[in-house]
Amino acid sequence: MMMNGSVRSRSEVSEYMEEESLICKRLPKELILRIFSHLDVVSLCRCAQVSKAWNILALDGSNWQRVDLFDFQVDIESSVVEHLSRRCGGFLRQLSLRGCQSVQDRALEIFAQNCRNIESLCLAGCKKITNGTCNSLGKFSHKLLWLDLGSCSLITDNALKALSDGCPLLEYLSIAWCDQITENGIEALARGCNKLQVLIAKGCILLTDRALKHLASYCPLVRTLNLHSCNNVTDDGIRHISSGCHLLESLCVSGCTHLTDGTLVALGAGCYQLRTLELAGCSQFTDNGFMVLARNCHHLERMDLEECVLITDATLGHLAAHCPWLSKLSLSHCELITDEGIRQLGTGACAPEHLEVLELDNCPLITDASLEHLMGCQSLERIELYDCQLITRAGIRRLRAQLPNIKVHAYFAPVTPPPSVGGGRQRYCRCCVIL
Amino acid sequence: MAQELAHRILSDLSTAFQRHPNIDEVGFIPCPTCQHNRSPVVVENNKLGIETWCLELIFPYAHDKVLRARGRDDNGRKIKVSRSARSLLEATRAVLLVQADCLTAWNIRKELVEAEDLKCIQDLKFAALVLTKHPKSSETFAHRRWLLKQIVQKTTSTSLQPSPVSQASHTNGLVAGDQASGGAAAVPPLNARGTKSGGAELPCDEKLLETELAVCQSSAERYPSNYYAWTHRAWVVEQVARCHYKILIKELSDTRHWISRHISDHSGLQYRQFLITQLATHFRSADALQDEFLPLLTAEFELLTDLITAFPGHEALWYHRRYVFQQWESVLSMCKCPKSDNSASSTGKNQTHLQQGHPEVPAELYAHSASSFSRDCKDSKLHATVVQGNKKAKVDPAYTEHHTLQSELELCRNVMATCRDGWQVRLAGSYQHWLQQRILGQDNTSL
Amino acid sequence: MSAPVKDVTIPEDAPSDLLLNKHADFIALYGAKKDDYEYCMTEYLRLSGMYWGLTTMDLLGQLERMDRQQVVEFVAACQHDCGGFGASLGHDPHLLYALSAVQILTLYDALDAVNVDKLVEFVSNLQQPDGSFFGDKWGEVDTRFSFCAVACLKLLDKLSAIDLEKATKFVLSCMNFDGGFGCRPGSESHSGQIYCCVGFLAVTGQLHHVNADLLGWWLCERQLPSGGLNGRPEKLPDVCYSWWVLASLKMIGRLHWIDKDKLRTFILACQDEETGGFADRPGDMVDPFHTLFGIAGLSLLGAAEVKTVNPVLCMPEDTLRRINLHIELLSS
Repeated sequence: MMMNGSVRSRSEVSEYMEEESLICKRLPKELILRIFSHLDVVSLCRCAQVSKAWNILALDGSNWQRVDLFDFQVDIESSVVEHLSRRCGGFLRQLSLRGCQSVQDRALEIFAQNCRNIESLCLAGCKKITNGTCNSLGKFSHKLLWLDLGSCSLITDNALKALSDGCPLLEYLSIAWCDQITENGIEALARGCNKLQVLIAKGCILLTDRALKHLASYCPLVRTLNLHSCNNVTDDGIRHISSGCHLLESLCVSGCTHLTDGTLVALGAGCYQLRTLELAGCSQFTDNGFMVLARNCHHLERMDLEECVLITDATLGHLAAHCPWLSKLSLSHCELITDEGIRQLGTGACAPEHLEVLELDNCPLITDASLEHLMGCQSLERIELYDCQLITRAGIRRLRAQLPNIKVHAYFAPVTPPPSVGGGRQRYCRCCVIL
Repeated sequence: MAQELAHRILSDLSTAFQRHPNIDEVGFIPCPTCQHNRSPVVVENNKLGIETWCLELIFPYAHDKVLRARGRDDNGRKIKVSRSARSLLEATRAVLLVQADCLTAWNIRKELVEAEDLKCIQDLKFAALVLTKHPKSSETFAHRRWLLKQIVQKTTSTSLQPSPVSQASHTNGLVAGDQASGGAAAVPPLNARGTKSGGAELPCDEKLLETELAVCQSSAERYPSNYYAWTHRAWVVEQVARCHYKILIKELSDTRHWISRHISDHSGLQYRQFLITQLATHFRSADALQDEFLPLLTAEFELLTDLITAFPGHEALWYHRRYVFQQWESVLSMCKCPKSDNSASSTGKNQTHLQQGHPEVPAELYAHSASSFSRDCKDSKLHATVVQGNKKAKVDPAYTEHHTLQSELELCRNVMATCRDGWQVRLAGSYQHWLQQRILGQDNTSL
Repeated sequence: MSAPVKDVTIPEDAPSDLLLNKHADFIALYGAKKDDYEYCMTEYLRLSGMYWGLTTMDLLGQLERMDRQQVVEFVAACQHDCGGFGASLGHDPHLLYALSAVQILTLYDALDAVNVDKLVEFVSNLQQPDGSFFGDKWGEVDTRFSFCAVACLKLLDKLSAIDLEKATKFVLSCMNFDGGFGCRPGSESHSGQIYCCVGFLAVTGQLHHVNADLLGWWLCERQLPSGGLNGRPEKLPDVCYSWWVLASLKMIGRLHWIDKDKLRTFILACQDEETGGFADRPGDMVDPFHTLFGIAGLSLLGAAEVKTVNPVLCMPEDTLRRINLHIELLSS
């Protein structure tokens, strides 16, 4: 209502309010509350400043079931969180404090005490919080389903112990970059939180195969597992997962450099539901491993094989033959791939309908012939060709003619108009600018 | 499309820095258009090359990211600030490699240092890299000073009670002006107690100092008469090395050879003036000045005479001679009339120190410092000259008269009469005029 | 073996008349293309760039060709809550741009468009216990900033907002044996820094501290056989250094010590006959910075076609008369 008259003096506004604020007179409180419940935090706070009546309605806890303070991360002090949790109380179900670096344990303790119905809590990047926060959560937040502790690097195994004791419903947990966590923490967690479906443990560099063993034995429902950069994990760990977590749909082991074909064989033996598999930097995998994987996991949709440097066109042959759902494939830096591999992919089961993204950057042997082979991939939305030095502008032009909506990423800069006369001459000589 | 490519090239840059953490030089490869499907970011032997065609893509893109961190979009409209340390590091890096004087970009990096997202040492390394491409960027040097201050503050605040030795070196620092209160501080701390370390501890991390001086050196090498590099170097000696005697001597020795190969670099010569002026404050009695400081000036005179004769027509050398002469005169007048010790010095700083009336320098001190000269700068010509000069002083009582006004005027007359280089003759004439003005000036003040 | 003198040779066919209208066109067109790379590259000194351009236009008597409202609005938008000015929107505040902003607004008599009290507060807060000035909150010290501070305050008639005595003491502590000044105590004498320090003393009415003969001698030794002036010994001549030196000589009443005709010839030779504008040296690329200092230099040398420039603030004298600002210089 104040949108169209851009600038009004204060007195004008209050007059306007009194004369025409029918909204207050005509609408029942319940309805205004209902309207408010659709507003975001900023709008609510603005409404709260309109009048006393609106202040009460806008700050009613029922409007504050889902709060995301990420946009205000810089300004959020502990006191804001304390205040908020007192106001919202049991209404609050979902809170994101992502990036709110100043928030500390004390504020979250007050929060946990006041908001016992919390189901989803994001504390990623709240770098100052420690095990104390997890203790509070374990003590009061028994309904917690979803928790993100990414980059809270002060927490240790005891934090997971506390969650295990008090949050039995937990389905999603991220402890990304919490690099003090060990297999003991994972064991405790797994014992208590059997409903766990998602575990994001990227950058938890201390984790070992034993951690995965515990996870596999207590948490059969795990669908998503991220072990990015957990460099101590070996094929044995993945064997445990494959024997215990048959529902696994998404696995990331990028940067786990000790893994060999044994991992791919194990996945082929137990994880038939795999859709997403990220293997970037696992440079020991060979065509043999991918043969077993492709023959068993037919649902694979998204594969990141960046820097799996040993694979050849044969791997593409297996994927083309057995994985009809493949929609995103990254082969960046797979330097042995040639036009022949791309030809197989282009005639494979996934090609006509599903292949959407193909990343071939830094595949030095690829030529314009590869682009010809891909012209039948009608769903192809994006292709990465950076640093494929045999690819020419003409080749790209032909591909674009066939697939007009495709985004082609290469270093060929968009053609800019030639600099106008005198362009490039107009330049300050900073050398002697002193004032 | 252009945005995506710019994004890609920025991440190529990041990858280059990750894979080659020791990149030590950056340059632009002239390449007006993009010919091949190949990254414009190249690293060979730790040298980073960026093809010029991509600059107009990445600079506006990165600049825009920097402004966004300051709450403005590309049209200057206010927007909500959101920041991720990683992307800010990437963006400011790209901006500064191209435009090193963008102070807002440096300020954002200062904020990242304060937030502990970036280490001082890391950023010193980056700023050094920027200087390889933009050797006279004043903002880059200013940023280094800020970083160095952070490091120096941190080390002084975390260090425990200073040891007696380091205390002596601290009191010898000239920057804070009036802290020289300990009696022992009157002597140069160098080897004062014959310690095994060969001198009092430096008030700073030696590695840090060494790196910083090397950065100045390389910038001075890349751009002649580099005002910012040399004033920065003087700042480092003052603020980081606290004008430690040993460092002053070492710098004087190290730059001697350099200026012999850069005879027209007035900034390099002026840096020696700074060193000499600071060194003068380490000698606080007439005797010390005469026995130890005058030989330094003699050496400088001799060096200059050699260079002026060998390389005629260099204004910078003649200008430096003016300084050495006036410094000579003021020291001499102090030695001749010890009672007026306190007033004759040429710079304000000298005065404050000389006025504090420290005890006389012990007679054996010179031997100490000379022996450590030989340790510190083993084959340095400076050492030879200093010692030689000193011997001369002992045998030749007329030694102090060598550079009287008359002998300087004689030099001018000589050059003007014999030299066939017109410009050299003109420079000698200017020097002569300057000397004559000095006499007039002094006559005026004595009236 | 003698080294060739570091100087330039003025080509036979170099321009020798002032191409007044070409320069005005050059400035008026400059920055019309706001999207190009060059424009983005110079964003970090935009306000200074505007000051150079607008002052040039005013000295040429063509300020009315510029869009006053657009300029004033832009300058006002560059002011930060702390009172300081950034070089452009989104750029951090710094004393250098505070001075440019005040100069532009004074040209346009539009100081009421910004918060002057806050600006005065910004400037005075940057003064340090030793009298020096930080350029901004990050603590870099330079005599340039001392000049910016007093020039800014002088134009606002608020010199009393700082400790002048200490400020002067600091500037004088940067004086060298040769009579010149550097950026910090003990730093090499440099024509640009000399301009700032002498300008500081002029603005604050204390030119008696300068050893005019000694400094004047050093300054006029900057003139090279080509007629151009350099900024330090053995550097090449440059139009902008010609200004720093010339203006300093004017302030200390020693302008007649150099060969004015030869300098005029040098400056005129730095014009680009095709595009308009001045370069640092004959045949180089032109830019607004050197264009201003070329025009201003010619004004100090008595060019009748351009307005008289004030050597201290590098602004037209008529503008300063309008605000009753007068700065006493040394007489010859």
